[in-house]
Amino acid sequence: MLSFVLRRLGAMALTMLVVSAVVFGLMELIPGNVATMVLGPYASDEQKNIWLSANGYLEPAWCRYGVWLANFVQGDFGHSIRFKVPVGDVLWPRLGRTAILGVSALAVIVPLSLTLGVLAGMREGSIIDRLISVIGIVTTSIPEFASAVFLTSIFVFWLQWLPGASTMSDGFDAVQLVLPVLVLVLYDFGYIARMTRASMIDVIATPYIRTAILKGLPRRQVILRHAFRNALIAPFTVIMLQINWLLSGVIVVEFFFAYKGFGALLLEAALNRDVFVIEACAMIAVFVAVATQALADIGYAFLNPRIRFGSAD
Amino acid sequence: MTPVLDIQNLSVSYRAPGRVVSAVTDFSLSIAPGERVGLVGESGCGKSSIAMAIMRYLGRNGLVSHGAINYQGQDMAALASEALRQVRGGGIAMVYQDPMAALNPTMTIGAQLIETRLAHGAVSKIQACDDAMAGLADVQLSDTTAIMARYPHQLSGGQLQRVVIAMALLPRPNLLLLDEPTTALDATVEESVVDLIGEISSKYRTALLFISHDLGLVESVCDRVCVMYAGQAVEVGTGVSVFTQPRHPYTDALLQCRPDPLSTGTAPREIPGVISGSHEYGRGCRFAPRCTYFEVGVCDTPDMALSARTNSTSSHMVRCVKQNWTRPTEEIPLFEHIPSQVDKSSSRLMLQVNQLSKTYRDTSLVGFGGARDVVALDGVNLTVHKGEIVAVVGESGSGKSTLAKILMGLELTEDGAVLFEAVDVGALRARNRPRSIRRALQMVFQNPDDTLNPSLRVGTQLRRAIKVLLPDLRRSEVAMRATELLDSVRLSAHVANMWPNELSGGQKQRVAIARAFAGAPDIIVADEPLSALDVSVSAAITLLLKSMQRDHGASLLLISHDLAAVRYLADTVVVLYGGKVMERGPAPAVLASPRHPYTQMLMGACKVDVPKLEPQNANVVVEAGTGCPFVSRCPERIGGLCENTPPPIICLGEEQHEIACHLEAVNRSR
Repeated sequence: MLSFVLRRLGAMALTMLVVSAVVFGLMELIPGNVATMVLGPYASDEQKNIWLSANGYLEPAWCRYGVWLANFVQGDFGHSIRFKVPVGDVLWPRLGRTAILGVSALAVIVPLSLTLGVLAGMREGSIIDRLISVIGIVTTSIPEFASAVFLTSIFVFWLQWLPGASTMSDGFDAVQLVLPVLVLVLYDFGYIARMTRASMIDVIATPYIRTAILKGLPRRQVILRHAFRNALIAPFTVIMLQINWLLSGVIVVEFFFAYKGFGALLLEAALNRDVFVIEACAMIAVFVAVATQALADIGYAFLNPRIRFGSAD
Repeated sequence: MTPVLDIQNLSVSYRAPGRVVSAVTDFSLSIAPGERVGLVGESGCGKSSIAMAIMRYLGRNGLVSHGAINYQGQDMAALASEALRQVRGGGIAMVYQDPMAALNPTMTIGAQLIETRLAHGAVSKIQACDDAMAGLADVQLSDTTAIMARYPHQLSGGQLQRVVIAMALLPRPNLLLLDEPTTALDATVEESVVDLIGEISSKYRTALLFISHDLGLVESVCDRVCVMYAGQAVEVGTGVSVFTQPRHPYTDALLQCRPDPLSTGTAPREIPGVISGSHEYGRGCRFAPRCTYFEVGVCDTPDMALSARTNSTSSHMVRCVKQNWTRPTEEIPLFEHIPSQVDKSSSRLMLQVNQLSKTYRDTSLVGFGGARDVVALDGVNLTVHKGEIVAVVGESGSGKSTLAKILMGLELTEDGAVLFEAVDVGALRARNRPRSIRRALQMVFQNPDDTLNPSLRVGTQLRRAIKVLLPDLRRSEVAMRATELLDSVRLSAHVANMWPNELSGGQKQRVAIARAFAGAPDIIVADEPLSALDVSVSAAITLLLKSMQRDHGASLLLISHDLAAVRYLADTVVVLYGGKVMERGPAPAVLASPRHPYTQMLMGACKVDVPKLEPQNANVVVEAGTGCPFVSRCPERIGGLCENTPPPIICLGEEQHEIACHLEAVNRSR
């Protein structure tokens, strides 16, 4: 198991290295623009050249890549052009906020969708199954911007139960999280519930579930110990992929509710061509993607003894 | 005495879209405590439906449309859910066909055993754990502590089936339902598992309902036998009575599908026609359309009931109004056994395998158990002449399938050569082989369901194979050849327009054989072509293969563990164990008087007491070159010699019969 984990982590580091080179390279394609962006559109060519040489931009590319990478690893992401502060100062708080949003959403999505998926898959074709499946498909097919408007009109304007913006300007406020989380849950739970349902239906049809029933186990035990554990293997990877989506896919929700998170930062940086922030955001997003995949693989091996222990023959 | 199980006039049917399919009709059976009853029939005869009806587990579309099942006097249909749960496992337990599928892959053997014990009777966890260990010891598994901690995939098939039997027996049920318990196991393991079932049944006085398609097996285990056809019991009686004096033509036909592998030259006989669907049942006897003794006005009258066999004191019942039929005496077998017509000195050498070796290195990305190399083939020599059928015999893990894969170019040789027409094809992957060689070497697979593409019509698949292998043919010639192929496997031309799922298992295998013959190959490699088929279908395919050899001069490398079929088909037999050739020679000589202890064990003819060792070591081959791979299971091993020195190859004089065994050498030197 240990060697497997180490190998996965090694593969992860390699992926990160390759991606960092690609990100650096893409930003390199526009060297003149860096100076223009930093110094403004009215700077003379001479000023730009002075800035470029002062900041090491006239060194060979691989040299600058080394320096950039070394800085990056140490947490020095450069200086934000728009916010006029080190990138880290603006990035970390934003990332923290998105993490709060994402974890809250996951904390609802995972138990909810697994329960619904198991309930639906336990009895394929039953009324419960059809109800859950239809609701899942309908909610998943409503895009976030539509459900955000819809929910806001109900809870903010009509019932006046919840605030319409989640700026958190007066410190952290859990109530402001409710609507963004609700939108994310509504959009995502149907997908995982359907995956779980399909997996559960497959498992329920296997001979070992028949064995479990016919050896006289109580139904509850058949479902929880035998079916659920095996039905979890397939959706697990999908659940891990949601973490990825909750980081960079929440731009719409963060923007709609004026939530100062990672997605909103990425949007702002892109609109303002804030090169260093974009670089840092890209690297963070890639890191999370690669890390969740590595975790998914390790967790998958943990759930599946056939991979954990290899085969006897 | 109250019977353990009493089935009265049971009818089971399944709802399908738009119709109801009848699976079992008016079936009655009573099992006394400790009695062993066999339920025999081919697939689709309703035997599994009966088992599932007993367990009240017919699925949502199945229902008991008539009759009752009483377990110890209580009506199963009337049981409330908790009482039903107690009977399931506690009163009636079940053993399944595929033990690997029957166990939960993500739970340890121990956990699955303990929960079974805990579900029946108030016992502590510690007590349940002790009981589970004792149960494993009961089924002759050693090192029970280690097995408790294992996951199913870490055990061999034979061990797993023992675990399943132990699990079934833990709550001490009165009745054990065994649904084809040995079909998925190797022949040598099969025997020991069957013996075990017999012992256990006597030890705990557990009644058995043994469901199988294998008549011989049922005969050896059961007191009473019930033969089923098309959802009806057609013959019931004691094993001896039914098997020695079958009075239903179907039982008789079934028995003749499987000639004794030890007797010489008897051809299997196929049962003409196919089993009819439930909507086609006419009035009267359901076997009538396939029966040799059918008589208009007699056999098609309604109310065909089970009646006592005439002139019999035992309770032998038959559902046949013409039960005093006699088999025509001057009957000519469909095919006589054709002794090897191959004169090896004159006929062309098609294929020569020289010193073939193959080791599978453990290259899995996730090597938790430490890398292990498995020797699949070790210095195998083999020749196939024009028109010869060479049978490769051995258990799983013996390297048979690796040999087939290398011949077909799905695996590469490591050492040694595969010479086909003087070209070494062993180092060429199938895609790198010239078309002429691909055309010449074709394969028939074990499972016809997996061989045919489900989304192409039969004709399309055949024409495609012909076009690929014989690109020079014109369109009209391709179509003509497809029809010829279907005709040569005795399928009518309209089969070309059918989809694979419309065909029966036997028809599919015929199509698979036709496909293999598409490019007029020189050699067909057939990997267990019979084992996925029903008894009567397997007989028909056996006859078909023989006729392909006789009429088309086909050379065949037959990989099989079915010795009856090998006995009938093969000219030469090669016995493999642990990747090495143990014995080889002309089929009659090898099978009639096997000389190697392993061959004797395979034949089940040896009278010595073979130690009941799991072939768990079958894959863990003695390191190449250090000794005989069979040493760990050999009843006659010579200590100190067999483990360390590779056995010499000894020619037994007559007709190239040779074995690799120290025993012969030692006997000779004395």
